[in-house]
This record gives sequence, structure tokens and C-alpha cells, in this order.
Amino acid sequence: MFLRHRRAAQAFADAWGSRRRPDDAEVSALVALARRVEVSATADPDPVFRDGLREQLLASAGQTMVAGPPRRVFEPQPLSPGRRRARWAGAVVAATLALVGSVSASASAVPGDILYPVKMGTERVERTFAGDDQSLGRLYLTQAGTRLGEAEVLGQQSNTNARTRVSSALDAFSDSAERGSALLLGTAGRQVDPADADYVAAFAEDSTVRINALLERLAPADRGSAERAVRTLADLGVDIGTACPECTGDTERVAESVDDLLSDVQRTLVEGGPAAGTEDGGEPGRQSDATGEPGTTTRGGSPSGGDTGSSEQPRPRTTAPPIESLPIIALPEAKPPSSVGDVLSPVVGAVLGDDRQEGLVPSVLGVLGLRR
Amino acid sequence: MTEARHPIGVAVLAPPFDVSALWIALAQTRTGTGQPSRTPPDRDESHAERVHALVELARTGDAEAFGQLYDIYVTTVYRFLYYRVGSRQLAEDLTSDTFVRAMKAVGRFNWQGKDFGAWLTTIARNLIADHYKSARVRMELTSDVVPERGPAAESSEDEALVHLGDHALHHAISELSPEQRDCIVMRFLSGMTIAQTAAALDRSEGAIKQLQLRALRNLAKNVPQELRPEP
Repeated sequence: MFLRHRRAAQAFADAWGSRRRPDDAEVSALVALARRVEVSATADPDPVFRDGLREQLLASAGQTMVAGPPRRVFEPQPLSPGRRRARWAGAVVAATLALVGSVSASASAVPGDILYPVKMGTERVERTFAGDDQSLGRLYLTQAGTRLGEAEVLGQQSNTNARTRVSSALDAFSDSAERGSALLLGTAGRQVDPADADYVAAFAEDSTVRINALLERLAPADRGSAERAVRTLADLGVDIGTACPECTGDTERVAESVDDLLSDVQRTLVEGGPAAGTEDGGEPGRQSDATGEPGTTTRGGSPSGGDTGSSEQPRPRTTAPPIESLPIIALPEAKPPSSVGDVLSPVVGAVLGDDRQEGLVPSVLGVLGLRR
Repeated sequence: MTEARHPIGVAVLAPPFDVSALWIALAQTRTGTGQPSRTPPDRDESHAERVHALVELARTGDAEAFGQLYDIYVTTVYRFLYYRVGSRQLAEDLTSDTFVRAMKAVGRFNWQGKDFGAWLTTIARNLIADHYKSARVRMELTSDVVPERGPAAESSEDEALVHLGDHALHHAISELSPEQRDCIVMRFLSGMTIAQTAAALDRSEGAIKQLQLRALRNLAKNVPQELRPEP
């Protein structure tokens, strides 16, 4: 029967292609039906819409189109001579500071800390030494995870300076996530490695969980950055599906959680009201753990609804699935980049031998504009 | 009309409906990308080469090249979306989203057996899926996906009857399973070839031939008796 079906399928395909009247009555009827369907296809895009969209696309092409990277064109800025010097100096700084241990101390720094510029410099150096697009892409995603970690730490701090930096940490997360996924999900002439697509999907899923948990720490002022971060994750889902259609299993699950998260962001971070956080227990990440109150309700006792008075009080962190369960993404451990120091040891030797060594670090920081 | 911008020739079908002109135009679309063209069959190869060259240029960031690809494929993409979602407004929104996404991603498009039109259709399909996953849309969604009639002048009773038939026909198409519905829309409403449909649905060409047959058989069951065409 399967063979008969295949023959019938071929007979139809032949009849449709040739426009010759087929012998088989059923095939003939189906060809007529298909023609009827075809004739009904009269919808064309409205010319005003079509022409308008074309204009819009071309007008925005300068910002939108990204030329296919031959090899690692993702430098944050073009390499002017000043920047080249700064990169070189940045490498020197990283090596020097490795010796004094500041780099390891800076690994846990957050925006506003005095050592945060050192951490940024270290990350820049790491990117410089990434071997290929795949490594650089994964590095960008790891660094995006670090930005998210910084947002988490900042979100727990109560001073207003820290609170205002949460948005920029989220924006930096979005930037790094976009760059990393663009590198991993397609290079001209290279087929997307399903392992890379899985990596990006795992990153997106992990980030979704973390942002979900972070949500109750966010203020309405963070809404724009939070939405952008979630939309970036949604874009990743579509990009994975486009680049690697056979990887769709994970992406559908990720897409659903991202979509739910976007709704939560829009619902929760409403201007004029504190973060309500009074959703019912729909998402697993929202179950409150040690409050002693029944179920997932707020002190108002209703599972969902308008009690908005509780957000100022610090709530216990929601039990998101532990990050350790996704070992691909891990926060960077506090260790000096020994590989950098090894590579640059002749330079470091020259630096150490310099009488001006004591003044080198702050003055180089000044040159790079990293000192705040 | 903007034919000056369409070097390969575009016959924009003005409503309606000179049937013989329709037949001629539709016959010529079968070999191409769904964009009606007045080109003879031996121009197909040069058309494919032209598309290939435009894509290579677009990948380097050439905006005008992307504009020309838009001209070639916008009707195919729009029709696919329109006959899937049943609303002009939504089809326009999703068409816009599709091309914006394509513009962002064209830099990393690679051929590897893919057809550019099929790639665009894949983006469009993903966007439809994303759209329907939105909770807001779930609440508003009805089962009626009959396409709206555009501003076509229904100047004769015959045309009105044709539209009524289309109404029922598209309702029947919407009753099919998602893959069968996609196949019908791609093959017979957007004018995509078997190869393009196979690329877009990530199936083999043989599988598409069987899928279209199954879909048509099911469609025949759903279409009201009086509308079934005589063989």
C-alpha cells in the first residue's frame, strides 16, 4: 500500500508538472482541485505597504545589516592607532596586574567597584586571545553570563547607585549575548555545528531562568533593559531555528519560557507601581521558599491579585533550578589568567625592570580611560 | 506600478480577474519563486544565477542587493503568511518582521543546499509559531482563519461566487494538519516548487510529493460537495 501511495504521489506530481490530463480519475480530480486552489491565490501585498516596507528596510540597512564575518570582525571599536596602543597597553596591564593579584580580586567586581575597569580589561584581553569564532562566541556568552551575575549582585544591594547600574548590566548582557550568538550561529561558508546551537539554546534557557529570578529585584526603571534582554533571548530562539532546523526540540521549550518571561516583565515592571510579584504559582521559579506563608501567596493571602505593598521588603530568593545543573555556563572563577601572563612574560620582565614600575599601572589606566 | 525596479519582470496582478491572463501568469510561476514573471523557461538558470549573485552581495552588506531580493521574494513570503494567518494586517506585520530578520541574518546565510526563498519561508514559519505562542494571542485566537477579502471590486455575480468558493476553500485548508496546510500554502498558493518546499519544511522531495497528495486528498474531503471541481 505504501508503494501504491508513492506511485500515486509521483503520478500526481507528473500530472501537475506536465499539465497533461492524467489517466487516473482520482489523480485527475486532485489536479483539478489543486488548480482551483491555485486560482484562488489572488492576494498580493498592498503596493503601498510593499513599497513602504522596501523604503524602510533600505533606510535602516546601515544599522541593521551585518556583513558576514570573514574572521572575527567583532571588535567593539575600529582599531585606530590610539586603540591599537590601548590594546597593547591593556595586555601589559593585565599581565602586570596578574602578578599583584588584582585581577583575581577583580573577578567578583561589579560596576561601580574600583577594580571593575580591571575586570573589563581582563575580559577584553581574553577576547583578544580567543582562537576562532567558536571560542570567541562562547566567550562572549560566558561574559554575558557574568554581566547577568553582576546584575544579580547589584539587584540585591539597596543603595541607589547600585540600583541604577542594574539596567546597564542588563544592556551589556544583551550586547554580549547578541555578539556571541551571531558568532556561533553562522559564519559564511560554515555549517552551523549542532553543538554550538545546543550551547546557545542552553545559554538562552539558563539566562531565562536567571532573569526570571532576578525579576523581583528589578524596578520599573529597569523595564526597558529587561525587555531588551528578554527580546534578545527570543531572537536567539528564532536564530537557532533558522540556522539549525533540526535543533528545534530545545528551542520550542526555550521559546515558551522566554515568551512567558516577556509577559512577566511587561506585567510586573509597571510604571507607578512597585514590582508586584504577586503572580500565582504558574512558573516553577516563582515558588517562595522559606517565608512560612501558605503556598505561593503574598501576605495578602490571595494567590493572584492586586497586593502591591510587599515589594519593598526583601523577599527570599526564588528557587530557580540550580545553575550547576547546566555546567556549560558557569560564572568565571576567581583566578588570574595565567595563560596571558605566560605569553607576555618577556614584556612583563621589561616592565618589572623599569624604575617607573610603580607608576605604570595607574598611568596606563589613565591612558586607557579606564580609571573612573 | 514599479516595474522599473524589477528587471526580471513582474506582472502584478491587478484585481480582478482576467482568467486567461491568470493561467498564463500562474503557469510561468511554477518554475520560479512565486513571483509572476514573463520570462521563458530557459531564463530560469540565469534567474537562479542572479539570485545567487544578489545573495552574495547582500552578505557583504550591500543594501541595494537586499532590496532586489526583497522585490523578488516579497510576494511569495506575503502570500505564504496571508494564507496561513488569514489576516492582511497580520500578514503585513509578519512580512515586515521576516524581512527585518532576514536583513540582520543574511550576513551569515550559507548555501549548503538551501534555497534563499525557502530560507525566508522558514523565518516566516518560525515567526508564525512565535506569534501563536504568545499568551495574548492564545486568548484572542479564533478558529476562523478565513482570509479577508481585499478591496477587490466584486462587480459581477460570478466574481462574488468565486469569492464565496474561496472562502470555503480556505476554511477547508485551515482544517488540515499544520504540515499539510503549510505544504498546500507553499505549493499552490505561494507558487513554491517541490525543491523549495522540501527545503523550507526540511523534508525530502519524495516526502513532499507524498505530503501534497495526502493534503489534497484530505482537502477534497473537507471541501463542500458543490465546490469540488469537475476533473
